[in-house]
Amino acid sequence: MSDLVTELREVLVDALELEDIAPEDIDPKAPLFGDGLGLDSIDALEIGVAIQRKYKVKIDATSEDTREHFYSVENLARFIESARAES
Amino acid sequence: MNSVQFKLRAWSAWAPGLGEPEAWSDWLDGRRSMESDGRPEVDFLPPLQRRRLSRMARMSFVGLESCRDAEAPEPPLVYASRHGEVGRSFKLLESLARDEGLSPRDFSLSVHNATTGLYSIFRGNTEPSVAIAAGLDTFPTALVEAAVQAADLARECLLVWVEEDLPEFYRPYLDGPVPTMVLGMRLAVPEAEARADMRLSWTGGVPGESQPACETDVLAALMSVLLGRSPRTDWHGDRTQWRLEGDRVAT
Repeated sequence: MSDLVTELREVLVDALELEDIAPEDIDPKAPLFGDGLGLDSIDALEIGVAIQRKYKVKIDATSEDTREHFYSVENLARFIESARAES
Repeated sequence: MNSVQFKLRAWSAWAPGLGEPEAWSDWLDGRRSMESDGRPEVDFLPPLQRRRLSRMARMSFVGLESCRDAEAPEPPLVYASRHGEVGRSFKLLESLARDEGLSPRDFSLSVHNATTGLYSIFRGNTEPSVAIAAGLDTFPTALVEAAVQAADLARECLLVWVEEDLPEFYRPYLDGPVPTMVLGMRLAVPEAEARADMRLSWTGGVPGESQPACETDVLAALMSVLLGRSPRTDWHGDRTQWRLEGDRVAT
């Protein structure tokens, strides 16, 4: 598992105040929203702010790809890596 | 002098280190102090609803839940706090000063009526709710509102008064420390054949020389009546003199 995935799980627990969930409980492949972790739209915004702050990546809220990037921890990590590679 | 009468169906109070009426009795006598740390359990809330709540919101939920009548329809709500969730607002201002993005959670939950909004979602309560801040007159103003709502709607009304120690930054601007505490009350209109248990009276203008009562003073005055220690208590806030009278107060 990449260091970024490990770190992202900690960022999520911290930013979303998931007090009953440990970082290692988050399955990197599982959906963050809906049936998976059960996060909601405020969480989506909170994740956006947290990763923009920490990784200095820009998120286009109107892009169709954003939904895909936010699907799981693994997708988020892939998105951050590619955004960093581009900048 | 203006006044409102009401029946008190239930009350509860919590502060770090203080919960039961006996503990408040000891506090009133100076045998026990409030602690600065600690937050109440909110096990009745599902984890996903619980996680975003600040200590202050948790305290409010406990104040409302402990006075709620589970058998009755959901009541109108009155939320009172002099400073509200100023800790969240302060975090937002710090983020702005650092030119960072604002936390959507802190933004949405920093508004004064956020807590009653969350509580109404939790209980499926579609009744009116009011959020009040009125300086040092916050609690009695909210009590007037709750009593008037109860009378106007001819039904019970839930009131919660919550305060929390402020971020260090603001403390030099205050007259004194703000206690971390919550008080819940369930009010009803006086029944026709029954005498009101309580009456709140007020008159405008305050004595020029004396200091207004701080939150801790108001809480102590209130406790003396709620605990049945005295039938009547007087204090004044920023611009109003208040008198609370209690009769047949059961603790």
